[in-house]
Amino acid sequence: MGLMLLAALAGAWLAPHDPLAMNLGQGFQGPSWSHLLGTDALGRCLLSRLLAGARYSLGLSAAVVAATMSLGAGVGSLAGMAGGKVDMLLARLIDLFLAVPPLVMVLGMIGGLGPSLGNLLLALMLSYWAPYARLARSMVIAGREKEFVEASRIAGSKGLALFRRCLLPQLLPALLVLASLEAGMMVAINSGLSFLGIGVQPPTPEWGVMLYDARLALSSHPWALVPPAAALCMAVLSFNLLGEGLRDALQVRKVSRF
Amino acid sequence: MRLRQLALRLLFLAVTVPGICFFSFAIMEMAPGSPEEMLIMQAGIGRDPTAVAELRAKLGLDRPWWERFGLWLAGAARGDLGRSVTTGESVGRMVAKRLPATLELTFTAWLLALAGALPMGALAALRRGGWTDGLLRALALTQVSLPGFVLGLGLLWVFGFWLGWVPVLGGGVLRGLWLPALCLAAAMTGVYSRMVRERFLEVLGQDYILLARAKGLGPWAVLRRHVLKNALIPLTTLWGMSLGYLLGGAVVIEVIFSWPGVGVLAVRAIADRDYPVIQAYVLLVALCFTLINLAVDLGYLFLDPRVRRRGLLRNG
Amino acid sequence: MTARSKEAGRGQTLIEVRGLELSFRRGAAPGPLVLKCVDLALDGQGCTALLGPSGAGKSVLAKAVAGLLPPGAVQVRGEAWVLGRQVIKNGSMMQGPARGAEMLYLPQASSSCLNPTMRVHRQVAEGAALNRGLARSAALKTAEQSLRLMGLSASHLRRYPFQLSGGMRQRVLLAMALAIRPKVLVMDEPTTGLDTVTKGQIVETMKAMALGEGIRGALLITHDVGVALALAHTIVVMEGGRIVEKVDRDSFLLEAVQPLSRRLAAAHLRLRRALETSCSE
Repeated sequence: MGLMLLAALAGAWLAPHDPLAMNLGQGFQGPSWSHLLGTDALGRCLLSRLLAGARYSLGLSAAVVAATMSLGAGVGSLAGMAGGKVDMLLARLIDLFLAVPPLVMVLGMIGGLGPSLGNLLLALMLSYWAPYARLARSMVIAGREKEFVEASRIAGSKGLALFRRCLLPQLLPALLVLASLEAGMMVAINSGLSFLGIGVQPPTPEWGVMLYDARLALSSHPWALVPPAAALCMAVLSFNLLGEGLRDALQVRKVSRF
Repeated sequence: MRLRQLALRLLFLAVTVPGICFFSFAIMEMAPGSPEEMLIMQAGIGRDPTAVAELRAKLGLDRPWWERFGLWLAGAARGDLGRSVTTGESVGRMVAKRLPATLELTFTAWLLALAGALPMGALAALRRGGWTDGLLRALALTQVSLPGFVLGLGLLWVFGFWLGWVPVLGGGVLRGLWLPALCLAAAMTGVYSRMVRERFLEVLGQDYILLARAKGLGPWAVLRRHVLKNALIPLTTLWGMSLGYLLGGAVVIEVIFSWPGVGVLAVRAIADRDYPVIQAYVLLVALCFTLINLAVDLGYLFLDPRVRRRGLLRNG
Repeated sequence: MTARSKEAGRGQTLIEVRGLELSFRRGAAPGPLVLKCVDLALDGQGCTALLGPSGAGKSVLAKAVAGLLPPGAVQVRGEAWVLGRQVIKNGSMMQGPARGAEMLYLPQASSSCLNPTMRVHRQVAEGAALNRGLARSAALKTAEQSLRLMGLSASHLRRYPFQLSGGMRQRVLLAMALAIRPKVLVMDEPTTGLDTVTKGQIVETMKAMALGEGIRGALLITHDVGVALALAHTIVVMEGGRIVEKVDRDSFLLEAVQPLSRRLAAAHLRLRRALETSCSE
């Protein structure tokens, strides 16, 4: 299992590092089929676009996941550690954000702010942080009761130090598992939004954008659909496998997307 | 006991709904450039200062934001959500026309996911360790990994163009619905079949199942009377919530299959900066979602006798 | 041989096991032996106790004979008969006598031993309806009767399992046995986990449960020496998957030969003495 997922993940990541030189990938060549993966309607090399696009599709998603994880975990941990009024307030806030479908929030925010890369990042970050917060909070609250934490507290550590030494190591594996599972979802959402024209804008070579281009010529040249679709599926699959593998390896239970 | 939990849920609702409303309202506020510029453009007045001032006063743009919020809320409660910037139509009417189609799609997809996930998960659990189990789990993984819209594009090409079985644009309920609904349902099915499988395995390992068999119950009877109810009840909240998530995901599917729903409207509105439409979309969808969740929670309260006793706030 | 005849009258062998070896499969290969060469004969005379420490294989033995282990998950060798019918033969498990009506296995009264979403009296009625061919209303009445006989008050009859204490749940299980009236009853750790007072009450209830009610013989699985002595007339000691000794109740305390039996007996005597001396102070 582990081997397979490592290979899958490596496959998804290895490619973009390879031809960094072909970054632009927009040499307007004639629609000849001498390119490895062919060309799209405007004659751009699909392979290059695919590889360059990986930066956006994967990199953006990874950045969002990292950001949401930090934000969510931060809020959740704070709520759990502080207790009392602060906790109640934050818990309600978390519930509030969980009660609304995040995609709708993203659409709303982008609608209001205008589609651009920065806005996309912001919108995604603000909509998807809640699951991490909920996880962090419940784990912190559960962990606080455990004996070894009590022991630490008696031994003299308190507050931030206590959190870092005792709770954080417990928290990290679960968070990482959730993060990898969410990462898969994020890649799909990211591309989906770009496909709709709401995320990354053309002519930036992002996989969702490539799918959009391909769609326009679907009836005549269906091939252009395949590379970005395959890349997307591979990426999501890899992240899912990674998450599952991590879950088994780190023995985390009860971490699911909902 | 039940009343108390009901009251808690309603209280939660009382917080969420205004939150949603405010968020929807705030969308307009977020717009770069003042909102009045947008409305001025819409009114086609140009830069004549007196006309602008008049319009400002008429639309109440010179009042502080909380007053404007109140006005907007009042309008929304009446059903008046403003007029589209691009077409000038009443937004309320536009959305109302398209909402049923989206609901149709989402609901069908939800049912499909349920119909698919239940047998998949149950079968996988009962044949645990066998090749059926492995196959079904692989299938679930594939379903989860294929983003809905990718699947949609692929299937559209296969069935629409290549085989020509399915109309490529819209289409009535019977012919045009099943493909988009399937795509929308695909990812859900993958996730749920796994959860069903886990739940089933959990229940099957319990002592009362052993007791039931010891009493002499045949395998089908055991399944029906003891396993099903206990395995599925905890999952109902999630199933209900997923209806809401599907509402969101429907957007992309609608675009691909040219399904005349609310999602397509929203996407176009975003591209056109048609704020009233965006606001209406967000408001309505979020409210639907919240109402559905409420219904699900209440349903759960009635189903599980254990919950009736202890209070069970979803994220508590 | 009369032991194998289909009609088992009083004094006949109800359960017979010969040379049974059992292991659980781990993947394709078999795991370690859980039961090693077990020979046992249970006759129709009251209660026999299967005594031994945890992990000795007592429950596994009982479940195997009752046909409650999934055949694909275990590998067996040897033979076993229940009520004259062969249940284990040469490496395979067979369809034995009717589960429930003929042989009833009662698991330990853990918190998950009863269906959490079904009311208690209905669960008892289910057994009665199934095994004695009663109509629904008759089954419910029998169930309520049995539950009351077991000491559950009227208000508890229609409760859900999570609303009952451990002792009450055990009574429900016993009521089930009463309502079903199997020919052979197996009780797995009926007093484990209960506090002393409840334990005493349950033991008394079990004693009062007249064995004449169609129940020909009972197998009591326990690791509590006192309970075994109180209820059984024969004590079979088991350890590490083997039957170590089989002895009369009266002889157990003083005449048991095997080391484990002696340890158990000695421990029990010490405890009893300690309790007696503290009481007399």
